[in-house]
Order: sequence, then C-alpha cells, then structure tokens
Amino acid sequence: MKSDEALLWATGQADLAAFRELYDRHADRVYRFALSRVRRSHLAEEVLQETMFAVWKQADRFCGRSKATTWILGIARNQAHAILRREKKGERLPEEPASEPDPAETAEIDVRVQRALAGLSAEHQEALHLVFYEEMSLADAAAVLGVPEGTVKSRLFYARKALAEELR
Amino acid sequence: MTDCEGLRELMPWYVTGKLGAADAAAVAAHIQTCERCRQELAEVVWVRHLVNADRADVPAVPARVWRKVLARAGLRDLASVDIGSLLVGLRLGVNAQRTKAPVRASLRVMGRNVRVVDERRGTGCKATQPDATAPQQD
Repeated sequence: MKSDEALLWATGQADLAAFRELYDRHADRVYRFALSRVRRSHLAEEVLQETMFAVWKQADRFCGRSKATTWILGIARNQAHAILRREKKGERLPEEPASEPDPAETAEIDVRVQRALAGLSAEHQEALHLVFYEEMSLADAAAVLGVPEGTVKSRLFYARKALAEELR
Repeated sequence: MTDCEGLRELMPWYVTGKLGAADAAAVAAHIQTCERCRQELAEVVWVRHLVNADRADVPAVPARVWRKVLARAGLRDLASVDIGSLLVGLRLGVNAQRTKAPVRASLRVMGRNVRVVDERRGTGCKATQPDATAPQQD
C-alpha cells in the first residue's frame, strides 16, 4: 500500500487516482475534525470540500517536512477558521437551524454533554478532538494547531476543567 | 519531572499511550503515591470517553462531497469502463479524466493503474518521489 506521502506526491503530478485514494483515506478524518470546529454538518462538508480542493492545488508544494495527516488537518483548520469567520460576519444564512440535537440521532449520547462540548471555545474543542479522538502526539497536535507544545498542554488542561465544571 | 502540575498536563497523552517511555513511567510512578493526581487521571479518562462518545454518531461523509471536490477543482470523469470479472481474477478498466493536464488516460489491470497518457505538472517543491515503504517522519 502506498504511503500518504507517496499519494500526495502523485497528486502533485495531477494523478487523479492517487488523489481519490488520498480522499478516501482522509475524508472521514477531516470531516470529523471540521465538525468539532464548526458543529454543523453542512459547514463541515464545506470545510472538507475546500480542504481537499486545497490539497489538489497545493500537493506539489508538500515537501515531506511534516506528516501528510498533519499537513492536511492543518489545511482543514485554516479552512474551518475562514468559514467560521464568514459565518460570524453573517455573509450567508445557515442551511441548518442551530436547534437542539435530534433525539433520534443522539439516543446514546447525553445531550448535556453535546451542549457542554459545543459551549467550549473553538481552540479547546479542536485540541480535545486531536488528542483524544485522533490520538495525536503532543508534537503532531502542536503542528496542526500551529502553536507551541506548551500551549497545547495548557489548552487541553483548561478544556478538561471547563468541561468538568459544566457537567459537574 | 515530578511536580503534580507538570504531570497532570501530560495525562491526556498518558491515557492515549502517546507519551514517551520516561514521561509515562514518571506519571505511572507518581499516581501510585498521589491521590489528587489519581483523581485527575480519572477525570482525563472520563473526558476522553465523552469526546469519543460525541464523535461516535457522526455519520459517514456523503458521496456528494467527492463530486463537489471534483467540480471545485474543474475535474470530471470523461469515461470509465470496467470489463471482466473479479470472480475470475481479472478486471480491466479504462479511465480518462479531465485534469489540470489536458487529458490523461490509464488502463486498470488487476487493480493497478497503467498510464497510457501521462502529462505531468511542474512541482513547486524539488522533492523527489517518496519511498512508499519508508517510515514517515516530520
């Protein structure tokens, strides 16, 4: 099986089959990470779309100094930022109401937990996702977030405390 | 590192198994003697569970997103034909795509793509093709 880095190199050579394989490997990861930031599925889809478009355009600039996953999630983070900024400016109306979660979809999940997670800052949410869900090392999480390792540790610590406080 | 505050900051990576051996040993030794840090560790495990439970019901990415990516990049499949049967171990495919290069085409034999038209883009990075089997490094 080709490595992600080899697929990125081939994508940089306009190899659509390699790009498709790269998409298949990373789409779920990018989508879930995006959802942890934007909290709405239609916006997460847009983040994924723009991220993979950027990967297609910029794959020939990937020089292997970081892991492919780190590089792609770094792009996704920037795209999520851009989309959230646009949403805050009110440049478009949301396609989905920001209402209560559908009980049918959340049968196993405490709605209070969802609310508490959604109430955290974007920085805290993405740090929790990368470390606990993606199980990234401290160094990789810092690379995706573009901050020093000490900042990642600090964000995790305060995110955890905020969540515990909210649910206590 | 033996102080409680420093060790507590490392606990997320301790529970995910991503801590270096020395730091992991330091955390393991410390929680044997520090009740407060044992409670902190329990809280880390609980928060990890909450985050993962919240992600458990995330649906799969809809197929339409790939089509949107193709459209966004100005790509589309011009033709795609599969001949043969996987049952007899032979599958022959012919693909042609509109890409940044004018047209590319490939034969797919036994799951492998064999290019018959190959126009390559220039690369902004002077990197050579990575070894598919090489370990990934930062």
